[in-house]
Amino acid sequence: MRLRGVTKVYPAPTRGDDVRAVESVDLDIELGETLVLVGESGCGKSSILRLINRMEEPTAGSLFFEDVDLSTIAPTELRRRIGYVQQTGGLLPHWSIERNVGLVPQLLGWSRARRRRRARELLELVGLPPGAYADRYPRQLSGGQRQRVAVARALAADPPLVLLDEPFGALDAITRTEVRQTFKRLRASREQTAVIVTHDLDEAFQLSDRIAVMRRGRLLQTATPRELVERPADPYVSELLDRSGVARS
Amino acid sequence: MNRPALLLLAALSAGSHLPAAAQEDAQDDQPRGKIVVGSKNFAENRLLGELFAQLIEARTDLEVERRLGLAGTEFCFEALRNGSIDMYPEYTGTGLVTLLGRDPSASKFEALRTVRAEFLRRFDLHWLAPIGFENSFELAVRGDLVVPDGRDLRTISDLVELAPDLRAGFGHEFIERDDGLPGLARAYGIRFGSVQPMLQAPNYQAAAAGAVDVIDAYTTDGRLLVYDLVVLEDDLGFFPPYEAAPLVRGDTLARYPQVGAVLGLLGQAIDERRMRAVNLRLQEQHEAIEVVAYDLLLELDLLPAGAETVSPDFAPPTSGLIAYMWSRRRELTRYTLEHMALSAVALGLGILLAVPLALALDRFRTGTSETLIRIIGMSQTLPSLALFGFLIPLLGVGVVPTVVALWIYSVFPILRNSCTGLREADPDAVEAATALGMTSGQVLRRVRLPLAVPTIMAGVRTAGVITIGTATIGAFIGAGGLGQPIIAGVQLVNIQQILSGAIPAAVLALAADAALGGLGRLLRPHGVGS
Repeated sequence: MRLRGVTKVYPAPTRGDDVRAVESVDLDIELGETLVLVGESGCGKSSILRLINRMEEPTAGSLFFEDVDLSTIAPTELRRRIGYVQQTGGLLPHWSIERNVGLVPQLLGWSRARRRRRARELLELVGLPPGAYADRYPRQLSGGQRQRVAVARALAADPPLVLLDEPFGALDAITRTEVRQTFKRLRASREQTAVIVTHDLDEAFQLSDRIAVMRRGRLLQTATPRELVERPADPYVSELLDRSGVARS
Repeated sequence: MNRPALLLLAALSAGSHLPAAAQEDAQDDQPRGKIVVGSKNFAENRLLGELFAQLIEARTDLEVERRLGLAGTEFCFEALRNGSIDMYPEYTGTGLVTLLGRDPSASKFEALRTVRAEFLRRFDLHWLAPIGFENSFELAVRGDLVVPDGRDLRTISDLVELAPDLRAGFGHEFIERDDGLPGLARAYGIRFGSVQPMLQAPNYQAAAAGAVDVIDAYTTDGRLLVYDLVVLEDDLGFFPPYEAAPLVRGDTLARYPQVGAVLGLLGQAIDERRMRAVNLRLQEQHEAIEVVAYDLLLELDLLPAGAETVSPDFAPPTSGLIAYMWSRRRELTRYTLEHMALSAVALGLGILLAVPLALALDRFRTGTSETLIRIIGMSQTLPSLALFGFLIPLLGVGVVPTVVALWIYSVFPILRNSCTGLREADPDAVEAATALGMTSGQVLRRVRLPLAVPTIMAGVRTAGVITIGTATIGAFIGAGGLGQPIIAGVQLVNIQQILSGAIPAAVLALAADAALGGLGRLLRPHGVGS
């Protein structure tokens, strides 16, 4: 995945200046890596995700996926090949857990039996035995369980790329650790690129191969966690590291 | 009191009539001609309509359908012109002033000649022979103002001199109309000491209590017989002549000439005194119109020998609401079924229009669709009678315009809720469905529409209750339903009759509310909270 000079400007909500959410960002995401975007809220990190799956269109610049310009791929086609998890899960409340997990396979035209097999396999993997959970509805699950289902749903069709927007942000600390572990376990065996947005540096250090730090729409530094600690490229990066306390470990 | 006798008569005639009617229907293979009789919505006019109906039933082999109690002159006239009804009782002055827009100052004979010629030429409508009484405005003074002083107070001219010392209690209509007080004041140069606007019925009581001295009255009002009032002669002929006569469609008379002949029997048959007595039975004794009409035909000797024309579902006067309702159970059941049918069809059509319309509006931006919804919402503020005034020239009277009116009222609550439901469907779920590759059509059909169902059904529920409540207006234009006894009861000041329609209507509304609530729970997708 390559981003070249990507800029996103939202028209001012009322009067005033336009909102420059993303400001000429160049970013290369390597095949199979886990890249974590960090920064304070409103820094443009979520916009990057939404530009990648074309939920938003860039004001300027281009994005390439496997060297193909994204704007040449139909958005729905593109999105079916990109997993997506949002902060609140976004499960369809009127669909059973199994059907939620089988959403993208269904859109891709998989047979019912294959969808079912796949959904059950994934539910098992995220620690929700299908016998007990497959036929339940989202509101019968806890927040952590729902988030596991959302992760399973994002991975159901084995997409080459997964985007996760604050996937564990709405969970309490203990549940967050559990779901994060589940996620790592799922990722371990896959050749799959993942981009995760978080404001939690701890989480970034745990999950990432590389970390991209953003501030006010600009990309300040993209580096491995180690490089980041050893050679922060910007005073803001040092400050961020100091504040979170990860640098000491 | 002749109530027991009446009751007996009604019961007997009902009993003897039923099998005869059944037999007759069974033998008669030929489709019989049908006449639709209309009337306006006040007691005397209803009675005349019923009189026409019973007379035609008794003296011809035509079938008669009654659409009595239409909401007013314009409604009757429109219904007559477009063929929804074949005839109704009209007054020459109304024809002259209200329908033709002519100057009211005409003699009785001029008025009849003018309306006859003009209605024939312009509308092919026939004024048949006048029935024999006028029902015009009158001035009436308290009897004790005349008698004890021995004053010569017989005419309105006699009143002019006394008027500055008198208190008048006039109806609102009389005070406003040009052929009422303003014209009267000009014609006679009369001025009253004070003018108190009041409703028609209370002004009699006020006069009786000595609170006012002069009231306006209708010539044939039955209360003139019971209250001590003296009707003054309109010696300058100011009030327009209001002779009652059958107004009939020309093509009806051509097709069924016997109708003209039979109605001709009523020519000059009923004078003002007799009409007052008849109105008194309706106004004060709350007798059933069918019974009073039947008695009147008997008195006039207009029934063929041995003919039984009393309609079988007569209500014998009873005491107690429950007994009353039980005695009218057949009619009330029919009204209830009609009411349910009107409401159900209108609500069904409302859903069929509102939900697709909401889906169509969904394509617009929120602001645009909000504006459109607000415009459609204005339909809600249309008074039903205004709506009918607009629908009747297009659709006539009866079931069709009623359903259309109810339909118009039912669309908005469903539309409003459908739009809200679609717009506010779980934003996270919609976001996820889009981000995982559903097309906007798929998101609409598989996510937003199912999630909007509870909100849509809440709108349907509201619309259902509104529709059932509003369906009573159907009675204004002859569509039947539970408005029939309500409106007739209001006109005849019969509380039992009003309640006999209002109670089932309220029960129906509550039942519909519960049923649609239940249906909403049934249709709510699994997994979606209440």
